[in-house]
Amino acid sequence: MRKTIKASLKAIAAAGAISLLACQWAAAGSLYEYYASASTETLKTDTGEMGSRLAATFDQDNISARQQRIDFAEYYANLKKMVLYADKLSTYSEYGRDLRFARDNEVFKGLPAETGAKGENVQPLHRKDFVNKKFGEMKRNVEEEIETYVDLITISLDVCETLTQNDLSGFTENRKFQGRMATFKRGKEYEGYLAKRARLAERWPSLAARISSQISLWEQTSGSPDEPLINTKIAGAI
Amino acid sequence: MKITMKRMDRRLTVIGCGLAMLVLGLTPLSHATPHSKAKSADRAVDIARQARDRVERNGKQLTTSSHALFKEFAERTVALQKLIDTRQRLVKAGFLNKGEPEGDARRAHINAKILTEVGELKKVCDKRLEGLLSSLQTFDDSVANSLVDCQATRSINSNYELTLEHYLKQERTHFEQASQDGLEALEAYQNATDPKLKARLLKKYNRAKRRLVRIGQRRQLYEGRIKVADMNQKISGLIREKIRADGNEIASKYRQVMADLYNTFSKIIPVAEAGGTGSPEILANMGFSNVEELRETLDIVDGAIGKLDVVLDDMVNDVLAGLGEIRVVKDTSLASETFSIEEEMEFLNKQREAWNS
Repeated sequence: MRKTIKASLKAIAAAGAISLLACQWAAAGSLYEYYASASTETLKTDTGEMGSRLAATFDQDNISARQQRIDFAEYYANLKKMVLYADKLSTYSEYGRDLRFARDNEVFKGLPAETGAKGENVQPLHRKDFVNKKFGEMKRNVEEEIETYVDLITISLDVCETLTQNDLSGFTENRKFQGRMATFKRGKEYEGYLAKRARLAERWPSLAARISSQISLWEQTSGSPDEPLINTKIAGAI
Repeated sequence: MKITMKRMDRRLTVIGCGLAMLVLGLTPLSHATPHSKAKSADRAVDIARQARDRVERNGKQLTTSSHALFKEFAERTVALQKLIDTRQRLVKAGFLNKGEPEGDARRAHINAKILTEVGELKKVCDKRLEGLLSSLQTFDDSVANSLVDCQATRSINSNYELTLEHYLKQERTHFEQASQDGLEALEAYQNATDPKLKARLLKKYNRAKRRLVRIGQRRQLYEGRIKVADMNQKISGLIREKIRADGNEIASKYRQVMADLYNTFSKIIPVAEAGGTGSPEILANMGFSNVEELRETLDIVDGAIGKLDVVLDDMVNDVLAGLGEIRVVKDTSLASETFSIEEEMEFLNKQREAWNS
């Protein structure tokens, strides 16, 4: 019974596919026949009408605006990530010193108390061993985190720099996007980055400089989209 | 009477404060117990899973929002393919020969028709672009935040492993003591002749043995948890790296595809402008490379959709496969009720070997 159903289904599917193909061939065939039989005058009139519609569809301003929008979307996504990762990376600017302090002063979280749960004395050697192991583990984990963040920031920086150095669509000049950047710079993520920017610069000066350079691109012109293009004081003086 | 009541009130207040302080003081202690440490390892896996779920959830939203665009795209591609096939047939049949008035007219017409179809593709993109870019931004944000959350899982897992190892060391000290007590009780039992003393020494040995068994059970529990912690480390590491390696570039690829499409559309601008300003002849002399490029871009679009599905499926399957490796550690119960010195010595030896292995 199942086999019969399966066979029927296969037959229906095959018939469907064949009829679909046949329709396509028929359509292609009819188009071919149309060109074979249509008069030159009819074709020319038709072409003229299509040509005028094409000019409206492929309008340069329309396409440029969308290219700008895509470029900015790519730039903004990477800048946002870069700022977030830079904020997290800054936390580890003095990780070596912080960890050594924690090891030497035995201030790690979760360290076994000197007296155990049942009042047993925890051997000092065990405690020291625990501290040393914890130091080693934390150092390894932090170094892996740093490597990840540096890698991710570099990827995002490369994207941002490529887009701004070859700003073919001119998205950096767009007032709407400048307004969007201004809004981002008033947000919590950027605030977090700003608070730790000096720590980042101290430990990873090259990365910090590249990030600052990207952000400074938007500093001179950032503002609300409604602000006048020319400073009113200068305009007045002129 | 009133004074007595006041004193009682004060005492009750002091006792109440004392109890509150005791409860507050005990709270951090309860976190140091092995049971709650088990929860901290789960926390790392929970973070990793939540991160994965967030990426998956937003990935599905992205797929939904891009589905409408690519569905319309696929339909238009069929129409475009039909036109291209017809054009090739006309070329082969000699109907589009250059220099012949009929050939030029047909050539201009079918080229304009192809461009009109490309224009329909552009309209689809125009209509859906904003929604797609917005979904991509949300997806990118979720990947970035998930990545940051997952970074913490390394430390949570290794802290947990370290704490368990420490507990295991403590248990070993307890074991040494209980093992010594058991051996002494067993020797005393063997040497004793007085039935009453023998019965008392047997009870003493049984107490030591139960203690050994309990320590053994706890050891197995800790060892089991260390295995689970190790597996958790692998699972959260797997999720972390998956999100980093695959999730990070999906949105960029989508945007790149859209950028490529608009680059292709922009190449048509000069032809369209010339055709629309009263020189339709330019359509007759138009090259065909633009359309070929568009077809290549459409292939990339297909690849991008497939890629997202594959990445998310792989992510889930890898994690589920990893979870399968976790084994449940079975508890051992007290040995049989019959008593044999030889068996007991063997039991003690085995326990010791287990510790030393």
